[in-house]
Amino acid sequence: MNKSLKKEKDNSLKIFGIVFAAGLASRVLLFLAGIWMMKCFEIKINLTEFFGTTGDAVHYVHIAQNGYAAAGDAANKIVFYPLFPMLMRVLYFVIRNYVWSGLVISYLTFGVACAYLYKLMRIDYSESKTIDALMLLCIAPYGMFFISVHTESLFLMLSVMTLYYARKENYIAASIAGFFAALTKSQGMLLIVPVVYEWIINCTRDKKFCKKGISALLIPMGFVIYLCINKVVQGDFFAFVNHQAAEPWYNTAKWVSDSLSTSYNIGSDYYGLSMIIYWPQIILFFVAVAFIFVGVYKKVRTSYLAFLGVYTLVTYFHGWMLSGARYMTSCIVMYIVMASIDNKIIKCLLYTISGGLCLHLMLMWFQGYAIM
Amino acid sequence: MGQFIGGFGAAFILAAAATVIMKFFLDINIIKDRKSVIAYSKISLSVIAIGAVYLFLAAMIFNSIKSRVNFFEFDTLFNFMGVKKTVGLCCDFDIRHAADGLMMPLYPYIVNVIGKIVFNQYLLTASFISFASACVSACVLYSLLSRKFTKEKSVNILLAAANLPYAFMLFAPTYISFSLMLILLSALALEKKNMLSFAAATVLACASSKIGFISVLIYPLYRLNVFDFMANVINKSKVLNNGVINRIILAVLVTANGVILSVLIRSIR
Repeated sequence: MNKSLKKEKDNSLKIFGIVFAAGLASRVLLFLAGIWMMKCFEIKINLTEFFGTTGDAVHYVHIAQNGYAAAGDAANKIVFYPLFPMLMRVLYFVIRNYVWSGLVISYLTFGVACAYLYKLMRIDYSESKTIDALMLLCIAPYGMFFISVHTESLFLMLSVMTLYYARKENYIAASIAGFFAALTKSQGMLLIVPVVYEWIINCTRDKKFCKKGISALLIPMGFVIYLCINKVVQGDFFAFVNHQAAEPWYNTAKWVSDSLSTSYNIGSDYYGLSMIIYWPQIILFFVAVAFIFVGVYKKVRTSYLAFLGVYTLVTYFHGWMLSGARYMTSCIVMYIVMASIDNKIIKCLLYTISGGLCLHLMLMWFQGYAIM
Repeated sequence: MGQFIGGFGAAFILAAAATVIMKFFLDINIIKDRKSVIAYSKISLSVIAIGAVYLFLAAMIFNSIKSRVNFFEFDTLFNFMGVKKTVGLCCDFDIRHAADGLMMPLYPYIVNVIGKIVFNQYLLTASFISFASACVSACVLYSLLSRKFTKEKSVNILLAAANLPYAFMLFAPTYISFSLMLILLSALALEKKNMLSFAAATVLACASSKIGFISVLIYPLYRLNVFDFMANVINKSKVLNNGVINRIILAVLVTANGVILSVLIRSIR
């Protein structure tokens, strides 16, 4: 009995290692594909400078280097959550370069995210559907953010770990992962929804109250710690709100309808940006909500769909959003729902559209287009 | 177009939220009958579709009679239905309006509160409440009808009810749909012999609008078995059980609604 358990554990570790390596390799391949395309088009870039300055990377590098500022021009960097730059700073002591520290974190956490996604999917789905989810994740249209100095990979890993441990009824581990996710991104504290959902379902099934579920309260504590950082550094728990509403983001909380109509109206005025920023985030909103209905029809776990729903709702509360597509790309449930679809023609279309857009957008991103 | 996309997106995600909440109730066995959930979901979606068709029809009629209107701008779509006053009262809600006899307090208070917390736009809030109330009304009416009639007959009666003259006002941002929902909920509570819920629903119906006072008549009519009598008459009637006649009645109702809508729009200055 012990031998078979040990064998099962060894197998499990082996598979974890293989999927981790495959996920990591997919990022390296994507990176090399980008470099190769740049060479084909004879475009020269300095990689360290590019990865260090594109999008929000410059802010994360600054925070990792200097921490949050109490006042001055850098004070507004407090809008970025602390975990990712903190990890960059820790890794800096080994790698001695902040940009490459960020990249290593992104690549490694993506690999771990793939491995956990495999474990999560295998609870309810066949091997082929699991591979579909992994493949669709690897060729996600805005997947270039999984190979850059952004929080997407880290958040993806922590969110899939939270869902996995919640499914395994290991509420303490799920809450710890969710706590760190809440320190990575604003959407992280929403992971309390699937954890509490699973807890309620299991208490109802077993007809007894499971005390370990109370650990789910740890998840919003991540956000509370972020608020405390705001208070300590700038004397106001909600200092980040004021900075988000000011230049250069002009971002306030608005209802979904306002957010979508703002995206449409601005996209109408700026055609070039509309095709890479505004229309993708409008389309992804409707795709995400449609996936909730598809998920109900395909009997995807309701806790996952509840997370997808609140994640989409909170993401589109941003009044003037520029990174909607990036945020939705790091919602793991999208790939689970896509993988659950049985229709081969639709699956084929998903692969084709995702893969084509992934390469096209990546080329544009390397060329310096404003893909945020 | 931006407002249309935004409004449709908001309605879409709220429908998704309602679906997930129903699934949650199914998962924890509060709702045990999956078929009922599917039936009620189909009814709700049908009601939303009927409402959308009415609005589109109204926009087309307005476009042909009055002036060019942008179909995708919700403000224009609703303003010409003569509901500006209602929404205006909700925006500047003051309890003294109720005392003046202009409006009962419950509906504008709810629009005011939900408008401030959720939508930040009172026309959209009132429209959402109307559509949601119409969906709930249809589900409650179906539940009441299916106790007296077969499922097929219940659906036919629902269809006829959704096409009665002036039924399009159920989807306009006014109190009509909301009051109707409360009246039907009081009837359902009485049918389930839950007197406390019946009393609460009746009070709320009376507080929502003057037509809510109809709910006061439900108890005496119920005690006199008027509803059972009407159900027996419909069940035994050869005319009302004829499929062809039912279709003719439906066609007449739809045409009548179209005519009434045209006359109403023509009269708006």
